[in-house]
Amino acid sequence: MTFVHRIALCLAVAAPVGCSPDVPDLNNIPITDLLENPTPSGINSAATGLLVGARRDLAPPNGYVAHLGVLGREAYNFDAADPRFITELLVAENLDPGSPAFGGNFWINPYRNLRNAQILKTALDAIPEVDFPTASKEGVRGFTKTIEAYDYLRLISTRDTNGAVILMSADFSMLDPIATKDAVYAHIVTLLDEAKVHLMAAGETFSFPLSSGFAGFDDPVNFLKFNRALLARVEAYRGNHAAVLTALSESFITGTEANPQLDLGVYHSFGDGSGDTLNGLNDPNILAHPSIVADAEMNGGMIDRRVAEKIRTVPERTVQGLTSDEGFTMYQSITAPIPIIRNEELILLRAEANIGLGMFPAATTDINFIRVHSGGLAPVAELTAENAIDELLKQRRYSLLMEGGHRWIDMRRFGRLDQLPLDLPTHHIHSAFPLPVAETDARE
Amino acid sequence: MPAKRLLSLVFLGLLVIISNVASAQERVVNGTVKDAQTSEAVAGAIVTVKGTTNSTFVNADGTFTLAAVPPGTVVLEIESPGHGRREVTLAPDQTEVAITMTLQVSEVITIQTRAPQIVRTNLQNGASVVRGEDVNRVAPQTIETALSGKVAGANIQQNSGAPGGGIQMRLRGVSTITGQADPLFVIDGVIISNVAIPNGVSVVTLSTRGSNTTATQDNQVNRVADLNPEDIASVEVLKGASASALYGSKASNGVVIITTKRGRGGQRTSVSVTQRIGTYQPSNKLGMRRFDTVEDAVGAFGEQARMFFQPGAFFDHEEQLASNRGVATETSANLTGGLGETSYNGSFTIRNDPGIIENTGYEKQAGRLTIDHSFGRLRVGGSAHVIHTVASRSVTNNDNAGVSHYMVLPFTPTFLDLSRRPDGTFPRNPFIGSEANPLQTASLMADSEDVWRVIASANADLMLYDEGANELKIAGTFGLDRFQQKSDLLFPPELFFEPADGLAGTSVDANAAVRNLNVDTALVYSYKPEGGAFKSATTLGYQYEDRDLDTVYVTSRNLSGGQSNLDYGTVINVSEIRQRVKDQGAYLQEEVLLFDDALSFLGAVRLEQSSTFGDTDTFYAYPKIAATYSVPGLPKVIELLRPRAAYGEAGNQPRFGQKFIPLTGTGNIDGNPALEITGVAGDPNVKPERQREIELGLDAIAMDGRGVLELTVYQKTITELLLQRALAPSTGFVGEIFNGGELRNRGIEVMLQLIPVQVADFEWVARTTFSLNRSKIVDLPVPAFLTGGFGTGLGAFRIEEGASATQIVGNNGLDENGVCCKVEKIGDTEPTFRMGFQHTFSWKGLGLSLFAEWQRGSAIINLTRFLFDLGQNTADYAQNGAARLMRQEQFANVYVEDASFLKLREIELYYNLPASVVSVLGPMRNARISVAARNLLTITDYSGLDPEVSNFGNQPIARNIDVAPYPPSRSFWLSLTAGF
Repeated sequence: MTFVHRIALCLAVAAPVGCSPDVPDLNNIPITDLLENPTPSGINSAATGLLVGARRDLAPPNGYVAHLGVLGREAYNFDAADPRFITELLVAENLDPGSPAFGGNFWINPYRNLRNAQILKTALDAIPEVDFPTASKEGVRGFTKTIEAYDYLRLISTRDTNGAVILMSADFSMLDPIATKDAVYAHIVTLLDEAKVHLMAAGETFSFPLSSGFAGFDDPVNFLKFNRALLARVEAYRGNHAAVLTALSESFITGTEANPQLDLGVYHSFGDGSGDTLNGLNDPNILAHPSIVADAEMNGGMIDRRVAEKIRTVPERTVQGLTSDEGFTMYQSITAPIPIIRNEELILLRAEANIGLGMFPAATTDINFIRVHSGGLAPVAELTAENAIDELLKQRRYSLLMEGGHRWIDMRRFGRLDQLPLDLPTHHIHSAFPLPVAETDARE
Repeated sequence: MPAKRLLSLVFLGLLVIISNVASAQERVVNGTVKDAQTSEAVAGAIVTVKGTTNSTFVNADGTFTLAAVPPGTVVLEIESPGHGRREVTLAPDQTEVAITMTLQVSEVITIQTRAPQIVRTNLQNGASVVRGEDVNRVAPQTIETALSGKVAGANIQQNSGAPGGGIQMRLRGVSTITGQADPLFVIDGVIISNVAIPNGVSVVTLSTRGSNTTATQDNQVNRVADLNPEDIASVEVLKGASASALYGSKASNGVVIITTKRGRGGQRTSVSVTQRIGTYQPSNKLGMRRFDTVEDAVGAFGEQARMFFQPGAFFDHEEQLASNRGVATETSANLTGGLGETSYNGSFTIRNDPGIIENTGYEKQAGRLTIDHSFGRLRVGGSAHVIHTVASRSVTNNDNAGVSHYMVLPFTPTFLDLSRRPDGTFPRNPFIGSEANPLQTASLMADSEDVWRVIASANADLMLYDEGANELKIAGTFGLDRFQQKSDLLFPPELFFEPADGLAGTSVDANAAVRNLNVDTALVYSYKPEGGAFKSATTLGYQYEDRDLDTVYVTSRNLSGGQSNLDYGTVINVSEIRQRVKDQGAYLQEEVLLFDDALSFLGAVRLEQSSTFGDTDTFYAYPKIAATYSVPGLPKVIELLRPRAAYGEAGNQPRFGQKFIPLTGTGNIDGNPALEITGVAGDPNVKPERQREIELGLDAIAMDGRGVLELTVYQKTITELLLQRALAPSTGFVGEIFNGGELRNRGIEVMLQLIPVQVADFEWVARTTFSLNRSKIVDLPVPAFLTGGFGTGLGAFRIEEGASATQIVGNNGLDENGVCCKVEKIGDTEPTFRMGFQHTFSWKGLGLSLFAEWQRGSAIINLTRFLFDLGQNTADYAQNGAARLMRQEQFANVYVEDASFLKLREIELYYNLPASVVSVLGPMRNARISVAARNLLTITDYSGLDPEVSNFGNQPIARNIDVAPYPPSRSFWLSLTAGF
C-alpha cells in the first residue's frame, strides 16, 4: 500500500466519524463577535467605524458634496464617459429613484452607518463594566447618538418632504415606517439632546480615538460643543430661531475682529494611508458653475475674496452645451478635509436666527463680520426685513460654497429654488431626492 | 529499434515461414483500423487472430498486414489503449478488411478512480470528445480557444481580443444566477483551479467607482488558460449533471476532463518536433468620424477644436493603436515511448505571441513529464507539468478615469495628431479631462501577469485479488495544483493622466497564491463470468479536496522617478483577499453489462460535505442513473444503433463567504481602525444549488463508419438557486443571501459526421455540430431584479419569473401614462442556435482542413458605440449617431445589437512529405509542413469590434456587454513538424 493510499484511507475512515470540513471567515469578523462577546477594542473600532461610515459617500466625484453642488448650481461634473451627471441631475424632469448612483443615492450609506450605530449600542449594553467603565460607555453613547443625528440630517437634507425611515428595530429583517420630515427633525433633536446627557457623564476623555478633523473637539466636553453646533443648524432648518441662539451659546461659536477663526470647526478628514479614503473632489471633471463668478460682488477692482480663494481658471471645457473654465481650489489636495460644521456657518446661523427674531442690528453685525473677514467686502448698512434674507443667502452661498449642498438646501428652505439659474431651457431644478426604488420595492 | 519490437518481428517472421510450410491455404490479410468518428489511423493498435499468438501492430497510416491467417472463418481481435477492444469476424476467403473503432476516453486514463470502470462514458451521456490533433491544428494560445464550436452544446467565447486568454465556456446554457459560472476542469484526475484574478488595474481605471464595485472589469484571465494545448491527448466534455454527478456540488456547470499524452509500454521511442512561425494582424476596427468643416468640429468638440482643426486631416487612431507587429513563434517537442514495463512521455513548448497593441503579448514556456510503471499487480504513475506564462494586456475595458484606450478615443477627434513626435514625446490630448493619449499610454505603461504553475499528480493501482471472474483492485490519485500569479502594473508619472489624482505614477503589484490539493481513492470490484453475457463492476470511492487562494494587492502611488519598486511611492495601499474551501465526498457506483455488452446500466450516488455549506455536518447526496442499449439484428449497413437515457443530480457550491454575516475592518480614518457591517448579509444556512437533469440520446454508426450521428435532448432544472433577496436599504443591509427559485434549461445537441467522398487516395470528412438551448426562470421567490449592465436606459439583464434567464430588458418607449419609460425585453444573449462545421479534405499526403462556427441570434449591449455617439465621433455620427442618441432617451434597444456571426476560426493546408522524400532530407521518419490561419474571416452585422465580448469577464448571466474591449486579431502560421 502506498503512502497516498494510507492518507486516503485514513481520511475515508475519519470522515464519517466527524471531521466535518469547517473554514472560518478569512476576510472579515463575524458580527456575532461584537454583538455577543464584545471586547473594548471591538467597541472602540466600531465607534471609529462610524466616522468612516459618515464620510463614505461624501467626497467621491459622484458623492454628496459634488451631486448637491450640481443640483444647487455651484458645480458641474463634465465626466465625458458618464453623461448622467448632466442628463440625470440637470436635464431630467425628476431625479430617477431607480438610478443608484444618482437619484437613488445617499440612502444606503447613511442607513448602513445607522445600523452600525445600533449594533454598537447593543454591544455597549452587553459588555461588562469591568471591561469597559460606565463613563467610557457614556462617551461612546454620546458620540454615537451625535453621529446618528448627523446621518439623519444628511438623509432628510436629500429627501426633504419625501421623508425618511427612523431606524428602530434591532432585527434587520423588520421594516420601520417612513417618517415625515418634521418627525425626522424631531428625532434628530432628541438624539442630540440624549447625546448631551451621555456626554456630560462621560468623564474627561473618550475611550476611542477620533480623527484629526475633530482636533480640539475630541474629548466629551468639546465634542458637546460640536453636538450643540449641529443642533443649531437643525433648529435653523426647523425655523426655531430662539432655539438656535440657545444651542449656539453652548457651541464653539467665536470670533473677534483680531481673530475671526472662521475655519474653526469639525471636519471630515481624508488620508492617503492604506485603507484610508482620499478626497475625490480634485477630479478634473468637476468645474465651477459660471454664475458663481458672474454674481460675485466687487470691492473696488477686487472680486469677493472667497471667490478669489476658492475658484481658479482652468482650460475651458464644453459638454452637452454647457461650458465652464473655472475650477475649485479647496480640494486640490487628495487629503483636503471637508467641513462638517465650522465657525463661519455658526456666525451666519446666528445672523439668520436674529433676522428671524427681527433683531436686525445683531444680524447686521454678524453679516458684516463675514463680509469683511471672509469676503474682503465693505460692510452693508443695517439690514431690513426686505433685504436681510437676500443678503444672508448671498453670504451663505459664498461662505459655504461646495461644502455639502448648502446652496441647494438653503434655496429650498427659503422657497427660492426657482431663483437658481437654468443654463438651458431643457434643464430642471430638483427639490428633493426621491425614496430609492430599492426601498419602495421592498416595502410593497 | 527497441529489442522487444525487433524480437517480436523476428518471431512473427519465423511464424510466417513456419506456417507457410505448414499449410498452403493460409492467407495474408490486409486491412485498416481507423477511428469511427475522425477516420484517423488508430496507430499502435494490436491485431490478433483470436485464440492464437499471431498478431501485428497497426502502422502510423492505419494499415496492417497479418500473415498466416488460417483458412475458414476467423475472428480478429483488435485492441488499442485508446479505443478499447473489438472483434471482427472474417469470412473464409476474405483478405481485406476495414475496421473502425470508437474512442474510449475513460480507458485512456491509466488510473480511473472516478470514471466508470467498464461502461463507456463517452457515449453513455452524450459527452463530447475532442482529440489532441483537433485541439492543436492551428496554433491555439489557450486550450478553450481550440475547443470553440467543436463540442455541441458548449458555448465557448472569448471576453476580448487581448492576448493570453480570458475565455468563458458555458455548457448547456446558464446553470446559475449568482454562483460560480465556469465548468470544473480536471486534468489527469486532478481538479485544477480556474480562478480569474483581477490584476488590479482598476486602481487606475477606477472601474470600481461606479455601481459595479468589484474588480471584474480588469479583463482578467481564467487560469485554465495556462494549460499547454500541445500536451493534450484528448478533452472530454461532460455537459450535464447526469454525466458529472460524480463531481457533486462542483459539477452543475459541467466537467471538462483533459487527458494528457502518455507513453505506451513496448512502444519505440519517438520524438516529434514542431516549429511554428506566425504573425498577428488586427481583424477589425470601428472607424471614426471624419470632419470636413471647422463648424462640424466645433459642433462636436467645442470652441477649442478651432485651434486643432486642419482641413482634410484624418489620423486613424485605431490603426495607430493596433500597429504592433512582430513574429510569433512556437517551438515544441514531444518524446514518447516505453521500455519494458515503463512508459514515458515528455514535452516542452516555448511560445511567444506579440499583441497588436504596443507592449502587449503572451509568452509561454511549458514542460511536462509523465512516467508509468507496472510492477505486475501494482501499477504506478506520476506526472508533472511546469508552466510559465506571461501576459501583457494593456489597459482596456470600462473605466471612469479616461485612461482605457477605447474609452479615450470616443472623445478624441480624428484631426488631432496623437503620434509620437521625432523627439520621442507625445502630444497631450486636450479633448478629455484626463488628457490621456492612448498611444502614449500604450507606449509607456507596463503590465504583466506572470504565472508559474506546477500541476503534479501521482497515482497507483493495486490488484488485490484476481481469480477467475472476480477482480478486486484499489486505486488512488494524489494531485496538486499550485501557482502564483504575479501581476505587475506600472503607470509612470510621465503619463498625461497620471497626475489627475494628484499622485503622479502608479505601481500595482498583485500577488495571488493558489493551491489545490486532491486525494482521490477507490476500491473497485469487478465480476466477469465466462460467456460474456454478464459483467458488473462496483466502485467505492472517497475524495478530499482543499482549495486555497490568497491574493495580496499592493498599490503604490506618487512614484519617485517613476521607479516601479513599491518602496518608491509615497502613498501605499494594501489589500488581501483569502479563500479556502475543503470538500469531502464518498461515492458508490454500480455498473452492469448484460447480453454481451448490449445493455448497460450505471447507477451511482455521491455523498458530500463542504466548508462552503452553511451546515458542514450534513451530507448532500448526488444520485445518477444511466442506461444504454445497442439494438441487435441491424441491417448490414448500420453498424451501431444505440439509444441511451440518463438522469443525474449535481450542485453548485455557495461562494466563499456567502454563509457569513460579517463586519469588515479594512477601512480606517487617520489610521484609526474601524469596524462596519458590509451591506450584504450572508445566510448561515446556505446550501448548494441543486441541478437535476434528464437526458435522452441516440447514437448511430453506418456504412463502415462513413456516417456517424449523435443526437441528444436534455432538460435540466436547477433549484435552491443562490439568490440575493433585496432588503430595504433603510435596514442597513441592501441584500441577504438565500436559496430558492428554479431555473430550467432545455436543449438539443446533434453531431453528424459524414464522409461524402472516399475514393482511392481522396477523402472528404465533414463534421457538423448543432446545438440550441432555451432557459426559463420557472420560479422566482423574489421580485424581478437586475443583474449586470448599466441600468435599463442602456439595457440590463433582468431575472424575472417566466422569462429567459439571459434576457436583456431596457427602456422601450413611454408607458401608458406618457411617462418614460416602460421597461420591456429588448434582447437575449442566448443564441437561437449554434453550429460548427469542420471539413477535412485529404489527397495522399496533402490536406485542407477548415473549421467554421456559426452563431445565429444572441444580443450584445454595445456601449462602445454609445460612447462614440456621445463623443459625436462615430463614423456615421452625422447620418445616424445623433438620431441614435435621441432615440436612446426612450429606447434602450438602439444600442442592443444582433450578435449573429459566422467565423472561419481555423483553416489549414498541410502536406505530409512522402517517406522517400523524408529519408532523403534527414534522419526523420516523417515530416509535415502546413500553412494555417486562425480567425481569418468574421461575417457579422454587429457594428462593434467583435461579437464575442464581455466587459465583466466570465459571468453567469451578464456577458455580451461591449465597453472598450481590446481589439480582435487574426493570425497566420507556418508550421514544420518532424518526427524521429
